Amino acid sequence: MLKYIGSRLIQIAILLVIFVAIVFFLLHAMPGGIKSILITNPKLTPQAQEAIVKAFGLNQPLWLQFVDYMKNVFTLNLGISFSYYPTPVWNIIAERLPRTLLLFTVATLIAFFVGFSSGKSLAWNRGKTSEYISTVVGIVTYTIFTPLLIFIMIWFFGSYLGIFPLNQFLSPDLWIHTNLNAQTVFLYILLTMLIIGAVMLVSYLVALRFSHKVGTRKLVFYISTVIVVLLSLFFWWISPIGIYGADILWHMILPVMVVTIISYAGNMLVMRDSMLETIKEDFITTARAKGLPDKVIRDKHAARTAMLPVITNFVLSMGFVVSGGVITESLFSWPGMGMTLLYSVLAKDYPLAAGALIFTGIFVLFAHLVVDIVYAFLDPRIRY
Amino acid sequence: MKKFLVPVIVMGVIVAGMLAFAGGTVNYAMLSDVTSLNIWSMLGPNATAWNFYPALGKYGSLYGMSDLTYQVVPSLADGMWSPLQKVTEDGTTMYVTTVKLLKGIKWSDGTPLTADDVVFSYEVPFKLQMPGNWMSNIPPDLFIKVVKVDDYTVNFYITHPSGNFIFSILMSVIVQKNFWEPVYKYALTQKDPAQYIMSYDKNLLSEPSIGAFTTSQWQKGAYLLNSAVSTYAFQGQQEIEYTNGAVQYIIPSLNKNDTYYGSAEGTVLNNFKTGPYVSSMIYRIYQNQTAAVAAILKGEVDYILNPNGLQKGFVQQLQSNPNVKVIENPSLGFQYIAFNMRRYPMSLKPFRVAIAYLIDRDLLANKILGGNTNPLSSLVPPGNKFWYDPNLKAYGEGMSTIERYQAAIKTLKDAGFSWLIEPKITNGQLVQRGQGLMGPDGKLVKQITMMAPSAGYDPIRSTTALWVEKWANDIGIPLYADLTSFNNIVDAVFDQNFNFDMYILGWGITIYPSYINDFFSASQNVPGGFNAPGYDNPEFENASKAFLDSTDMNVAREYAFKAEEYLNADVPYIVLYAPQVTEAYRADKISFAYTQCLDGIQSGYSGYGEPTYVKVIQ
Repeated sequence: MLKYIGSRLIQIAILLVIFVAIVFFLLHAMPGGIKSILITNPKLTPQAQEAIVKAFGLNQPLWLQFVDYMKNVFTLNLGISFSYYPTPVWNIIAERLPRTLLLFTVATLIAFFVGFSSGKSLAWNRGKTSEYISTVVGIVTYTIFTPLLIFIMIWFFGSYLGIFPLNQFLSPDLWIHTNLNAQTVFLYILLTMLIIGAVMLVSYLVALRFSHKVGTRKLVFYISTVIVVLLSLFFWWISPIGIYGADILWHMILPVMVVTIISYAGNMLVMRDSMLETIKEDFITTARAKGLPDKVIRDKHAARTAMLPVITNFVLSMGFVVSGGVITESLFSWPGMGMTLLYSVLAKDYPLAAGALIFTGIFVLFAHLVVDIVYAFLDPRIRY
Repeated sequence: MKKFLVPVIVMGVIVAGMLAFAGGTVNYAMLSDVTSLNIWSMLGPNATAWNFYPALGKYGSLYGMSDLTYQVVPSLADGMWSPLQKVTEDGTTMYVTTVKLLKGIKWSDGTPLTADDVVFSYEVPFKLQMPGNWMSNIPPDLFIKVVKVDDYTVNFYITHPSGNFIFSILMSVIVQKNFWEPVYKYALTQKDPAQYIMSYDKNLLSEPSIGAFTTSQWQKGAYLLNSAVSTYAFQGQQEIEYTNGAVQYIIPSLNKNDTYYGSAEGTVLNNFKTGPYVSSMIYRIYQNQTAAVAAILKGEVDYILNPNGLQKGFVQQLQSNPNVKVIENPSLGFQYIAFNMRRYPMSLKPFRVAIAYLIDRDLLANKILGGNTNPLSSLVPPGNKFWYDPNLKAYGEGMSTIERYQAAIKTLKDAGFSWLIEPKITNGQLVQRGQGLMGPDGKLVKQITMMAPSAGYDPIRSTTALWVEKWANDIGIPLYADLTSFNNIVDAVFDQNFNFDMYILGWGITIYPSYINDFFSASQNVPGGFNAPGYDNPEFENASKAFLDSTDMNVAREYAFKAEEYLNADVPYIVLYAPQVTEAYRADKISFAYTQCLDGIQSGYSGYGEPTYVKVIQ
């Protein structure tokens, strides 16, 4: 296994070099260049424009810029952003990433669990009206024009009912009374999520280690989960920053709903198809013949085997979480990595665009690695 | 009488109630976040309207411009600068002028504005050769130095008399020396001092302000909070503009009453009283117009700041809310067709004149484009009253389409052009389209490509391109409208060493029309320069240079008019339109001192959203 991981890491490194090179040359192949931005300001004399071009290091030949860039990337220096000059790209990514991570991680997790559970039930209840309705609804939401859905959601929940904020990630009217940085609150929320996730994982592993009874395992897992969630809520409740965390979460509801509606159906349909194939297998018939309860056959025998493609989908989605979603972030005024990528390309901010792309690339490549490793644990037939 | 008295009193009470403004918070929407609060960076590589909107108002300048009449008036200076004197120092001839500072002006930390602040504000960008707008504000070929005479007097030394001295140097921003000096000193010990000082981001929220507001909070990606400065010296200042051109400033806090450009008499055109009238301003950041429009309709924001105004598609939606007022103003800019005069047949003046005859901008603007743009035939828009030449007439003005065809055909014929099939006009109708245009040399004119932004980027310019193509093709000119991306056009024109035949683009411009020189001067006819047409006319150069060198604005205007006449006759550009800036605000929540102005309320000439005039309606 370790040998396999080592060889995959080498492959990832080679892929990364190729990826970085492609990103660099693609960005520089765009017509117009930084000049197209500067030229729109007639107050900037050619000398003043040249001074900016020089400050950005764009007066060097392209191959020299490339060599410098590769050198920088592999010493973890993503350069200095043009549009936020002279802010380092790392600082901008560090500022935007928590917003994207929080929104899209929550949405991806919810979409996964909703999709997984509904796909499982649909396959089990195949042929019923509920299956047809759910499938049609799923296909509609999966293929809907995203901006249209967002506009409808904003209009209905934000304007018509007025129960959710229209957009932005916080309420200025609340925040102007504090010197608290929203960045800090985002990080605390992410930390809380991480702690809850870690406790859930540990409790699951502990239950697995010390009990053979499914009921006991579930009890340990659910009790520890409820305790850690309640404790977290309590700490947020008594914390002076609790209200600000709640404000961010309140602003997250609509965008999370949208991302969930759009992406749960993908998981649901994959799970449904995979499950339909699995339940035709001999071992399911054997399980039935043994007289096992339906729920056990469905959850323990069929679903576990059928979840492989959904897990692949999920882990890869988690890899793409860092790139955010341009449309969602834009229409909900949620400035994260997706918007950073869009604006940096429009502004010909090569270092920032390349930085955002490389960052996404690294995550996606590692997500692939995680998928491979997870496969080995989930499917006993796979050995490396 | 009595029966009228009661309603009048009641109405009076209601009106007084409606007009009772006192403090409060206004909410402005912005469509992009601020990228820096560092003034050196903000006027350097980060010179964007989004940065200027909330952050530039905290800085002052020695001179500024009057509202609506756009005349140069003192701001932090006490009266006008002294006449330039020629002096020689160490064998170098230079020109010197004295500027006195207003006494009693204080920064928000309570320290007084002194000559040290002024000297420091010019010394830092000049010595560090700051890029971007700094180089335009303090041009290295014009500025020499600024020297403190006493605490409230400075001398400016420049290489030669120039209008840019007034509109660039004297209007450059003033920062507080106390705050920035330690940073500057440390920067000088660094490898790249300019980069160090531009990247400085500590305690910027505590940087003292000399303006009406200071940014007190910046929640990145969400909003900025500007709080009113209690020590603002100009609060209560009255600006009275008279029809005779005079501008009077009464500043009670400084006990000043000065009038410029004539005497304070006759009819009053405008009378503004400076605030601030609100205690704070929140600049909420929305990432797109749809979100901002939804916010103003819901009442979350009171006004939308956007340098290009709102898209036309939103107007109807906004007008559906009776509390939202939509306003339209001509932008300070123009869209134009440029000819590459280095290439045949664009090098021939009659050819360019013929195209100019063909373009009916009134028909385009008012009929075809449905009044969504303002026809414009000169480089200076009429809204720029002082610099606009009303006597300048474009080719074909007032002609019908057929008369334009006839004039264009005649111009071409007179210049020796001919056709394989000549266009024919009978009974006021074009009955035969021209084909096979041949130049004076008898050879067929090859296809001429006119690049224009595609409909996705700008439907107005792409529609115009298609109509110009049609009119040109009607009389046999083989013009092809190539609708392409903005970047492709800029790349071909400015990066590929003028690789174009014709193109349509636009410029944002300034009140002082130094761009007349920049866009057509022979010195700019170099790769990367602004003179894309390759215009070269010594008579224009003389007039243009004389205009730039004049510090007497009346004289400068005469030369500017003359320079424009050459351009109007030679047609290196065909000016088409001044686009409209559409804006919206909540008339039930806020009021502005004025809404009809050049470039809209968002303009820098209106202080970026009239922060010192905006009032909350209670």
